[in-house]
Amino acid sequence: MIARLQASRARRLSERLTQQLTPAQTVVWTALLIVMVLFPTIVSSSRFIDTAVTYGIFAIALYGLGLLYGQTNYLSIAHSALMGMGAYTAAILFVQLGFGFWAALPLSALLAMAAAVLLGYPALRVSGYHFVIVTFAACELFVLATRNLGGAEARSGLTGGAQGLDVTEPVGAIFGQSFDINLELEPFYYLVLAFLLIAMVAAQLLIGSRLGRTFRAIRENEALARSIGVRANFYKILAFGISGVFAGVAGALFAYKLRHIAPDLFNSFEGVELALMVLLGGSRRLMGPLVGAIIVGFLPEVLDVAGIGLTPFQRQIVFGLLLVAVIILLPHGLVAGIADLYSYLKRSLAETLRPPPGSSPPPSEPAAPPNGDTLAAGDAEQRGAT
Amino acid sequence: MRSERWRLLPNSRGLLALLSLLVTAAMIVAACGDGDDDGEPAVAQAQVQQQEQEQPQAEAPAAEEEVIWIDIGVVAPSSGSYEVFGHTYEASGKLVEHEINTGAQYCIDQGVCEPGGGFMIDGKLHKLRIHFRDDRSDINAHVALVQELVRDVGIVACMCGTPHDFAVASSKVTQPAKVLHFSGSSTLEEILTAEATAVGGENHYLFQTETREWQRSGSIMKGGVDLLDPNSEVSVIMMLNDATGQFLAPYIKRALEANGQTVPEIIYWDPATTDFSPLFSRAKAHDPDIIVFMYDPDRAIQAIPQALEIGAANSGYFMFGIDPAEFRKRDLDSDLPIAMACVPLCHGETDRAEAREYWVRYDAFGNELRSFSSVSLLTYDDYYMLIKAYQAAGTFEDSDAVVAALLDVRYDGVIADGFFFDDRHIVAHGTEVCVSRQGVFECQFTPPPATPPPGTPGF
Repeated sequence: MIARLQASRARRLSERLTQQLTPAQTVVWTALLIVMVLFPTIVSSSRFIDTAVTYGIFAIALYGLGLLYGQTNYLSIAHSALMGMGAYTAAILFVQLGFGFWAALPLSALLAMAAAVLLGYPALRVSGYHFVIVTFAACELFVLATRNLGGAEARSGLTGGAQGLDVTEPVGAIFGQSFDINLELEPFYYLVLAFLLIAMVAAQLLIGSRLGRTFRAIRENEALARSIGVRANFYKILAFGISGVFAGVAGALFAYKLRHIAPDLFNSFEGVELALMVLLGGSRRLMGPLVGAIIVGFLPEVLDVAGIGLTPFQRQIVFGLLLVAVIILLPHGLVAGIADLYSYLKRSLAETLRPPPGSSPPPSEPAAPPNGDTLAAGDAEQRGAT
Repeated sequence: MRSERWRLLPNSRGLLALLSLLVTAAMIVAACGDGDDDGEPAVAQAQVQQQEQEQPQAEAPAAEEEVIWIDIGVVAPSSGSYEVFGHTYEASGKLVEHEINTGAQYCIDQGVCEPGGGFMIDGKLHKLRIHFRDDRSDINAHVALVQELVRDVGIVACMCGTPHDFAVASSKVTQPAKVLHFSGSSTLEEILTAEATAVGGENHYLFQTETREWQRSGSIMKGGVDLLDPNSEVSVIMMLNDATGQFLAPYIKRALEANGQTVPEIIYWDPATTDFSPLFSRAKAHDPDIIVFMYDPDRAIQAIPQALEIGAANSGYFMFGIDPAEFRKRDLDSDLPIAMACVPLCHGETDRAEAREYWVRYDAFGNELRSFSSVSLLTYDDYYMLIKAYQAAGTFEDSDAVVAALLDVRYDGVIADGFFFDDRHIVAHGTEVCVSRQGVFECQFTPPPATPPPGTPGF
């Protein structure tokens, strides 16, 4: 009986993940998954694999940020600080208590979630630009605190001051497979990929759940949601807390990737960069945060290899212009924009091939919602979760 | 249907507009250059860089087919917020590569080079191929580039890393791979313990190319106090609040105290500070004779006029990492003397003949003189010491043998005679301090103190 129930639940979960994919989306997702799995084989450059690891870790945090921004419309700059919370938790547990990665991981996630809830409680009383500014300030506060907790003498104190902390051991082995990125890049890449896929699945399940619908109800009309008994403040803080879990896991991975952390790795500039990735890729499509991370992570590297390396100054100009362009022209991100374009082309083609009036009309597909906002109006929209 | 088209068309128009914007941005960027004073477009610079990287192979005639190339990496910030620390690595690296591969007279005189260029190891001709990489002041890019050089290019040594976080993070890559790693960050001495640098230790292949901080601080502070006002009693330190600054501050304080100063306060300034007046007012409340402004010379040049305006110090100001030749260009007017520490020896003012000749070669090669340019002296000698070690070990591939040989090298270079890495893989050198009194310079070379001041960690 229990086994049947479990099988039924697993089937329902699987259906929620796959049934709403159109053939085109299935092709795109399959291709993307194949590329991600084969990436270390396709791209033999250690530089690109290392970059993929770094931005794969960022993408995990982005799925949390995407959940918060895409589902509740609150754009947080503090996610770099929440990543920092996860990273510092992992590093401090290692340095002070000798905890390895696997033992520290749940605590990193929990403390980042707690930090997000603590921050969210006052911060979510405001919205829009005010919320962005509050989270920006929180990020700076995190950097100031970690930088100065060390005291006047370097490397003293819990956080190691501005010099930060060293994690001298790699991620512990599983079934004999070690994950020391400095000995072998590939195992760590697949570890990050596994976490990334879990993050994507978790985000998709959350979005499709009753909780996700509640978040969207608040996003679309908070007053209306309150009027039907939704405890909006609680759910907004919950959304922030859940997004903190993603950031905490990413932070722990980041600490074990670099094996050295310092306050400046989690400053507000990094927070803005995370927000940039989400805005570029789009937060309401499952592929959005991943695409954002790929663009921001790989564009400078590819240009550099092509001999037109961008200095940080130039990179800021390019990404700034790109961001302005995307916000104005593609407010739901590049992925939604491309999906819109695809729908338009498909529709145009269908119109061209449509038989002349008088013959029986072919069955037509339902129209896509405007601007690719496939998660805007409830479960039916899940069909377009590219 | 028409209305549906109108709804969708703006999106495709949007994409076209986006593409146009991107093309425009690329054109703007190409036209802007990289923000350097010379205004050379980035694309052109990249092409020049690429040509330079390919040069050793292109230059090699057919007869030199038996040349063995030794790959060495340089990963440093040539752009971005840490650019001021990175350009020195490129300057010395390119000069050394040129001298060694072409058989420059200095290289021959040092007993390293063959007349036709290159150097012998175990009876075979070798040349250097230095791979320069700009990490763009981004630690993630830095680590990725070091991974590339270590794993894909197969470098055997790396001048990798400044500032502190970058050097530590990339050492996690170089050390397991047994790649010799040289970094100027004096903060490394904390991890270069006897245990870590011993054979089999986690940092056995890591070397600090600058002297121990208590030696450097002792040397520059003695020079500074002697030149500014030997009778001074009170000094206030204004220190950049970052990893290096927090590390340096207690050393500078102890060094000042060892030179008869009372230090009532260390005032940390945030990297984003532009208005230093409130901080100088706070310093002035202590009625200081000397204000020591550390450690970014470019910021010091911006800040000290603000201090002069409110008369914060009585005897003078001390700044770090700038040469008199560079200071002259900045045209800073001051009634009070301003002391500046070069690490280790000053461009244009040093008494050491070998260093003066180095600066002549440096300028002739077309290297730019900027803040911290004098640090290039250190990495310059490191390359020659490394080659001496290869020659002594009879190999460049056996890192353990090379490290053992490098620790035995006593090198008469541009910095000092008998220059060497000690058993903790750190060099020892004095520093030169110059003082400008209304544009007239006076310099003093101070060897490192024999003993550390009381309270120094580890002593």
